[in-house]
Amino acid sequence: MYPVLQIGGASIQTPGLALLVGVWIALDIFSREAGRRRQNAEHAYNAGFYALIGGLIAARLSFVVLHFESYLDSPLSIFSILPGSALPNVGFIAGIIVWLVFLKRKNTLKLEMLDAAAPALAILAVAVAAANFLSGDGYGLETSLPWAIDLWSAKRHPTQIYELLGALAVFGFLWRYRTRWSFDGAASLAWVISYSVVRLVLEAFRADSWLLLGNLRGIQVVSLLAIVAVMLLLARRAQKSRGV
Amino acid sequence: MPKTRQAWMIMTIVVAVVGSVWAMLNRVPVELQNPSGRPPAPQAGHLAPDFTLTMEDGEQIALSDFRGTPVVLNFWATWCGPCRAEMPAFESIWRESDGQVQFIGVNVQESAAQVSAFATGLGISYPLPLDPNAAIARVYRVRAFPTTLFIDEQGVIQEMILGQVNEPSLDANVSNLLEN
Repeated sequence: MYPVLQIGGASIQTPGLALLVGVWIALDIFSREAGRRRQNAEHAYNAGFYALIGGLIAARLSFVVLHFESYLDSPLSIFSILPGSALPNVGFIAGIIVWLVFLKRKNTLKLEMLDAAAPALAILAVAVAAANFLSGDGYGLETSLPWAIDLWSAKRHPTQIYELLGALAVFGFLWRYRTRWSFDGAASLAWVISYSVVRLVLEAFRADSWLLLGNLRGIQVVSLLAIVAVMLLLARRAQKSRGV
Repeated sequence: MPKTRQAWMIMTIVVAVVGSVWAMLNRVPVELQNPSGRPPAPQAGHLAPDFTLTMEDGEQIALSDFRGTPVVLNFWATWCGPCRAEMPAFESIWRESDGQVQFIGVNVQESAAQVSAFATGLGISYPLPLDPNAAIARVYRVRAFPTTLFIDEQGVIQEMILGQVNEPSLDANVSNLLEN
């Protein structure tokens, strides 16, 4: 775990750097895939870029709105960029909304565009796992297995590495079959199923799961529901195509 | 890949059953279910590592002494300009809070005389324990001065900020601790 890289007088937050590199690679893959699918590659790249900027602004502004009274005496502090003064969840949701609205306004919100985004999302998951490894977040349960890592004063499952490999496998699967899907939207559904399977399996080794209905791991419940929903959709589609 | 609706439905049921059994087998053990059950670590969401340090007057202070009260834990040094700049705001909020929030300023690798003179000059009255060998700073992985942690009444770190904390951000994070 190396949360900070010291270069001379500068302290670089490595998790943020990993995410930034991941976003950059994901945007590149997204725009190339969009181009290959005869969609507007420039719009794909710009949608991701504006989503990133919109997400960052929303994360910061939501914090300021929530604590507006604190900023009345010093309004210029609104422009200060402290890492602890933003709401990342709000930023994430706002980023998705900006992405969808941008594509919609450019008349490019189509199934082909969502399919183009699937491998890019897998790369983003790789970046998140790498960022977690660097920061020590997303840590695993204690174990005596020989490949355990020393983290937070205990030998633990290297869940960040499991998730990084799982996300890479999802990317490899989507990339290998990217030209072979039989209908528009298939790559997106394949991403939902494959990534949900990875999360359903690997969440079992995490020690920091959020809980649902008592002591069930929330991510496992959400992943299983997503898998079942997509499979029911595919069952319905199979019925329709046979009926034609 | 299944070709018929029936085949898809059978496969869906199998996946749902296997997935449910897997999720049930991996329910979270009771000892990991409360926030303070997380391992102590200098990271938001974790229990703040405990320490006992000596103040410049020889009195001892432990972080666990303040369990039940939100704590703002600040690592600083007298030569650090941003530390000097933010400390009057800490003092002001500490006084205003009237014991609802505890401020602790851990001085790293300086003498009791230096800290005492600095505190008198700046009018700081909240506890300023000494970390002469930077042992606690290492436990908290302090990479830059100042570093400030906002710890809730259960001892769990809610926020960790590297660099100078401006007044609105300090005010907002303290409000969060009190609302929790």
